[in-house]
Amino acid sequence: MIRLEKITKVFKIGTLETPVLHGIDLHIEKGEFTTIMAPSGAGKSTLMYIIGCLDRPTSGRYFFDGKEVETLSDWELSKIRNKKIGFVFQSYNLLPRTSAVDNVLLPLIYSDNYPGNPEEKAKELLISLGLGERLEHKPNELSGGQQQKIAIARALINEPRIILADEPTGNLDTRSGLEILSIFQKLHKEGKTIICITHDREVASHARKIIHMKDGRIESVEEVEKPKDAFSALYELKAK
Amino acid sequence: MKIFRLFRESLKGLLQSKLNTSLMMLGIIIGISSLTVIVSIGEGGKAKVIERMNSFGFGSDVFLVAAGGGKFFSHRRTKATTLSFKDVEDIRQLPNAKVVATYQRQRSVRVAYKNKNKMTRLAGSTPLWQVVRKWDIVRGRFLVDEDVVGVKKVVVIGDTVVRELFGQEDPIGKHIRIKNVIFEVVGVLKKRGVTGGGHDADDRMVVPITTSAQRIFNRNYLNSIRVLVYDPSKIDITAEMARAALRKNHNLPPSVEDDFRIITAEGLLVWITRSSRTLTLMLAWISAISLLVSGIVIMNIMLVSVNERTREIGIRRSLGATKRAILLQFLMEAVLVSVIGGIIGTLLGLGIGELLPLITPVNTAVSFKPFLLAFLFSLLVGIIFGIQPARKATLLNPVEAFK
Repeated sequence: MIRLEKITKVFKIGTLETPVLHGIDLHIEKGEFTTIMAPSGAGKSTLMYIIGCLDRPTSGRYFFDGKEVETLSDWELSKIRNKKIGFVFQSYNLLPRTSAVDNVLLPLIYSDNYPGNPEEKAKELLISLGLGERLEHKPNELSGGQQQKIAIARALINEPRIILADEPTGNLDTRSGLEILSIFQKLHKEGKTIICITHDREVASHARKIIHMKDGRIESVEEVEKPKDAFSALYELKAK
Repeated sequence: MKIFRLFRESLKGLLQSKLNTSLMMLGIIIGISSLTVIVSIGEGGKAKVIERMNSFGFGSDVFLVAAGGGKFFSHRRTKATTLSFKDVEDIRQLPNAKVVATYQRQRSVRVAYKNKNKMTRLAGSTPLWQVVRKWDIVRGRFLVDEDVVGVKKVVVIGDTVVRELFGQEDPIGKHIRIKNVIFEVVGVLKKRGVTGGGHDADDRMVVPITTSAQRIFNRNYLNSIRVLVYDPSKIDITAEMARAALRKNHNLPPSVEDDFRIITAEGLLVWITRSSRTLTLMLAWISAISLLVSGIVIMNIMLVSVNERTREIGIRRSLGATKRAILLQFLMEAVLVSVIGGIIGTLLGLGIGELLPLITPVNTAVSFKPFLLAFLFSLLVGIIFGIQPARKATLLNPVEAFK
């Protein structure tokens, strides 16, 4: 469902050109849990923004669901971001001074009519992520792990097919990180396509496929025979 | 509706930065409230003139010849003594003239009954006064020709005079003193009440003109002549003919201006609209400048706000906001601020308009005009000065927003 062909990205600052991606070829199938692993500065965030239809490549072709993204209008791209992709960022990117429920409801402002009661759905999502007691809390009243769960609920409200996560555990302690990863693994089991970007080998090994990137190129694709199970790791951590 | 959801986001955005919002509103409030005050003053002035016209008993079939040259209501320092009974006779001869009433008058004359006394308006006139003024009598009678010919010391008084001098007593047949001359009260005018501008139509007395000329004022010249015509469509011609006759009577060479004024209802209206046009122009400039300034304030604060909210814009874009949605959200914020400011400004202006007549001699009137103007102007200011910051918000690269 995601296919990149010879994608390049060059940033121009004045006359200075900084190439970030050098011809990325990538293919991600529906229902895969893929991590893109790279040290910082390798262009992995740039790649994620291109996959997430937030940025356009300098050259190369990108097919999303069979459609060539280059040809789509702002309106069509916005619709893809709204309906088909759920973003999870390292720094959560919640709106401050806005309650958990209202943050989760944000994408619906930009959607067409929503089937059912959106507020019930938002609360349901938050409750299922263990935030039932925190529905009306504002982000600054919550821990990093709780904020990231709100962000995941927000990513899920429109029932997208793809979850696109950029260092989702980067700001979290081990336990909260494992919680987030176990949520991803659960979502994966439910059939969602998950693309997770990280620099952390530990995080990456929770996926079935690891794409190693370096200096704007894909170095290798690693199939993980037995991905780590975040849920049991969490269980063990609790037992200690 | 998507637009309604965006509207709610705009409202939330404004409520979340109350300081910015109130700063932006302040300029609009000042601009629109001053606009409202000026409109109220303009309307008030107009209302006062129209009211004065009505209190003169002015209609399209009446014109007035007033002593002294110049503009309609301008105050004259020198006393014009040229309007005479001969002028009245000549006007009466004009074909279109139906009724010609003659006036001597004084604004403030002392009148006393027993131990009570008051100041009131006094007119010396003829039985025709009642005809041109279309004013009924409730008790007794009006003046008759006999009173005028016989220089009778009789007086017809208004309701206010009755109330203040006689109380519950029946004034008919009683004697009152006007400037040390004893008059018999023969009639009471029907009550017309106080007009909006505080002009009490019932605070007046009418005596025969011969009596006023010989016993009270000791002068033979008139203050005004009021002419009722048969055919209102020919009133201008009749007025012109009267003018020619009076100029001849007063021996005015062509180079000299009239020493009297001829006032028609239409002439008055033209004059009123002309004077209010200047005022309108002036207030247009004042409000334009204040609204321009407040528009610039809104634009500046919005531009800063867009910069501060780069991250928010990026988040919204990543969640599926189109450029159009971002544009609308920020544009509606600017428009909301200015329209709410406009409403507050109008209410404030109307409040000031209510207070002004209490502390200054200025007259004001409430009308729907300020509301309409305020809404239109504040809407325009919001759109014109909000579009640039809103466009800037849409041009932000969402990726940049996350760095």
